[in-house]
Amino acid sequence: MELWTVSLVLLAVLIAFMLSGVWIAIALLGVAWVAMSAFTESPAGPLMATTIWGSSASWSLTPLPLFIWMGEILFRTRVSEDMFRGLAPWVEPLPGRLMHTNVVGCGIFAAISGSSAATAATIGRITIPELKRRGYDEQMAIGSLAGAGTLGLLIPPSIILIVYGVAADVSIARLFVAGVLPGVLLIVLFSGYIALWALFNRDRTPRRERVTSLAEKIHAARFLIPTVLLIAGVIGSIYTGIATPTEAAALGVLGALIVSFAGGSLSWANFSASVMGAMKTSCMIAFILAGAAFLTVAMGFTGIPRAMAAWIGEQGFQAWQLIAVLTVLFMILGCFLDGISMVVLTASVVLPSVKAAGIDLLWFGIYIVLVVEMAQITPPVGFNLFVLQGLTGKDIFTVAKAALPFFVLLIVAVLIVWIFPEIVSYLPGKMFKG
Amino acid sequence: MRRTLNMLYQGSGLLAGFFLVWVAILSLTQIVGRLLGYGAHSFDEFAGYGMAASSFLGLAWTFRCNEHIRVTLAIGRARGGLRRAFEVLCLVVAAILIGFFCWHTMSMVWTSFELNDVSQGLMPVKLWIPQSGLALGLMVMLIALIDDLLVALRGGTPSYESVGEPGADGSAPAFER
Repeated sequence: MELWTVSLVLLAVLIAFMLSGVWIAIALLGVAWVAMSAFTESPAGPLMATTIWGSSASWSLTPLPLFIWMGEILFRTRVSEDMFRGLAPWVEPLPGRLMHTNVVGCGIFAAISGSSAATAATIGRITIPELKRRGYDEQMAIGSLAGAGTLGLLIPPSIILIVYGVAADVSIARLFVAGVLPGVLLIVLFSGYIALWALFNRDRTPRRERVTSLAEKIHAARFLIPTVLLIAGVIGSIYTGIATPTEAAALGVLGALIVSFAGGSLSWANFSASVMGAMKTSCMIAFILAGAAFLTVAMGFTGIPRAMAAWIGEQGFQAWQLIAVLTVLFMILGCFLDGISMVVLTASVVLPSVKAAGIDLLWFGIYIVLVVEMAQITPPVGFNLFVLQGLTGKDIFTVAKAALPFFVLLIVAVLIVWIFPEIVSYLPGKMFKG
Repeated sequence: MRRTLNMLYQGSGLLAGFFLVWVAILSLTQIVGRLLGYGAHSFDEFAGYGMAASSFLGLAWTFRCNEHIRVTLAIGRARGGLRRAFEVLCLVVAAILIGFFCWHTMSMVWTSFELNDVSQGLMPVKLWIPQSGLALGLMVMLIALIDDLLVALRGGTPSYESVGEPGADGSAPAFER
């Protein structure tokens, strides 16, 4: 059978599995099994067992549960409650005033949770009512929250970057460090847009409440500072090469336990809830990665990714053409699929083509996260939109409209990162080579 | 019967949680060891085994807590009998695939046991021991799938359906779905 017929059949099988509602990890196993048994001579079963054993019992996966656990512990401290009060005095002098608590709050919480939906929900639950009560523009408050919520995917320690690193065999330490500057770029873009908007719409931003001294500012942020230092320490230890990502994550867990203990929120109930919560999230992701590992091997046996890469090489496509096509493809996929599934499917099928087009895999990791962020705030299936819909009681299209400027800013960010790839590669290049 | 099964799922989940803590402790011990001048590389390997055990032993409990993600675009719109037919189909497909996977994992463990395979690290480990975590976890998962399949066939609500969408209310930092 022609290879392109095989590809079409497998694509149809994948769509059928996914749409039927079978759990994604199991659907990936199913597609791989069909690919192996229908189109190759190799025995699917033994290969399934050994491949998945090899990829699951892996040292490179261990940062995943630990970073999730760190987030689960910090999530149960006072950090989220104190975010608004702690940040407000710091951002109030800026044009746009307290609206920036959304962006900065999401930026900090993003480092804790690695999930954009949880970030938007946790920060929004406090900022949306507070901003509304003070008379801030509601549409802008919702939009900035939707946009900034997606920071959770990029700001390290990012769970989705671990998933990409494992699936694409790229160093997780380098990916984390590469994500720092693009994350800062996004914060600057989001906050800059809010400030500009506020300058042009002076009548729609409330006046400054009062001037606070530095001591007051620090006092207000006293519960935030240890957490921010902890995150900085975790990233710093990876950057300087003192610790591997796993060790940094383990130190992060220890630090989170200390912060939680010092804040008085460490109880046995909280501790065990954090362990079980982390176990479930990490189990869900590891299961998808297991399915993806087998799918990657099965696809390799069919020869489709190699043929695709060769075809792209023959056609002489420019790298930017491939990226443009992939961006549109991901936008469409993002309407149906979550971020992790998109990343692992890409790694199984498209990666050889990306390599053939001469695109750096480190850069591609950051790019794919930016695109997944966009997908989070595109209707009809943007998970952040659902969260904001629940928080504000507005319908999904109102929320999507409010989020639109921030969606455009994400596209701008992709363009900037494309034109200046140094934003991604500068810090990893400076890293300690361990 | 119900109580025994629930204990099986929850016990397996608790064991998975224990292995997660174990990975953290191993990693911390490794840091301390390195500071004291011991370069014990087997830690990597043991942490990897703990990771595999945690991921697979937790499968069933995670499944029953509705934490495994799925595309709900079609199934979420179906109502009544159509919905139940969808659920039964999903559970049958999942049970067949997990059954197949479980069978071959068990045969892998058996081969490792018969050939007395050991790991290649500094401290050789009989491979069938860590591999059993995979097989056990898959077995419990298979039981959980058949359990819910029987519930769905009798017209009941599967366990994961009665939990509701996790994370949607922001109650826990669950991952995107």
